[in-house]
Amino acid sequence: MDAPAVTLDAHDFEMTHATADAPAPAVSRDVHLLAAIARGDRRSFELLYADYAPRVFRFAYRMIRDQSKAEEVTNDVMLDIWKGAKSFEGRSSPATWIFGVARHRTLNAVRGRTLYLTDLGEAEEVADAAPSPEASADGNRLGEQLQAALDRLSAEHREVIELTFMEGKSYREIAEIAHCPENTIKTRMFHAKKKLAPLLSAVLEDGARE
Amino acid sequence: MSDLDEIRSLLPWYAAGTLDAGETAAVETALAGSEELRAELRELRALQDVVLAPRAAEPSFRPSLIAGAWQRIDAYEREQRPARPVQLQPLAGLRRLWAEFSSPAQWVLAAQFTVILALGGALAISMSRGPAAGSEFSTLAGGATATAGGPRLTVAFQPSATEADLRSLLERLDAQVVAGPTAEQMYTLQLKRGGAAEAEHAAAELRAAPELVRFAVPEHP
Repeated sequence: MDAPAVTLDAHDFEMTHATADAPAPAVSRDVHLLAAIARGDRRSFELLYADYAPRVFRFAYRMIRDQSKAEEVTNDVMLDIWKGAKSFEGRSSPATWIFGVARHRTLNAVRGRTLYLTDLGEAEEVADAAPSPEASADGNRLGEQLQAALDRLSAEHREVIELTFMEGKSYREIAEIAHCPENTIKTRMFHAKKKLAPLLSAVLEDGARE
Repeated sequence: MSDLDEIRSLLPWYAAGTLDAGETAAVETALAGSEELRAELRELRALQDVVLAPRAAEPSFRPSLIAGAWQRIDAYEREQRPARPVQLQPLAGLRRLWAEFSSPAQWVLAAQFTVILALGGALAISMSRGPAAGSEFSTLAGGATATAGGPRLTVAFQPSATEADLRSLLERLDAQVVAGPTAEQMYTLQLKRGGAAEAEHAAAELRAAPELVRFAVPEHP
């Protein structure tokens, strides 16, 4: 994970608030932080910021491909958390709730950038992402081509891949984050993978040759 | 959707390790008998590697960004504060008070009112301080703190919830308070029996009473 934003010790917080017989588990730690933020506790906000802001930034950057926009989205999300902590009811985990806010903010930013706005049916160019002959001879360049192809996927396809592999979210959690049925998430993943299939096959063949 | 298609749709999350135990077992059984699925899994792992690989041109998160977050939070908090009250003129107020309280009976009433205010203030301060240092925590269910039993939940109650409300909730859930309140007014409840599913059910039941419960989440071991 990226370096923390502040030099506060999360473990120290847990020791302060956990009871001897009921130590605060990881998910409860974030719940406690949100409850404290709801009361205006700035130290708890700093702890939550240190954990989540780098992840939100990475997610936003990979979706928007613009550093200053991604930074703006990150602080938009963290401000939303400050304002909305009172309304957190524990219907989902804190991480799912925070990434739901991040997704909403990020998609709004993506929609403001026509360069990366690609609707679900409009990404046909990615389907032609067959590796170039030069790239096939060079594993690193294949990886770069695959990264470039990922960036050309629609926002809806990219977010499913990022949340699955980078953030380790289950399809159920992604469905909660994206406010859509679980089968929609599975279908988006299927189509995203289909668009990347030629490059993925080439990466595997290249790996088998080495 | 055929069984194979269903398994195929789960493969990305099998590669990521986020399926539940039943789904994982079903995928592994299918993988053992299908080279096609194994090839697809290899492709997904290659995709995962690319997603996880650091990108040379990708900027790092700048920790100093938090300063900007604080500026925006402070601006937001300033907006939320109520408008400054009009400056009072204390001497003019005293003169009005003196003019209005002209009879001894009115002074007695005023003195009684002052005593009531002082007692109310003392009570509020004592309640806000919570139990005295060194006093032992005793559970709402009346027993000693439990160390074994069913699953636990972290719960915050509404400030308006009464002790009778909480007792009724605990009886309904067959649960007891085993820790709390924390500095954030959170309690740890423990069901007397059950597992993760019962904890989810209890959390849902608690959330269904928003007039008493601010939030409730099962604690994962």
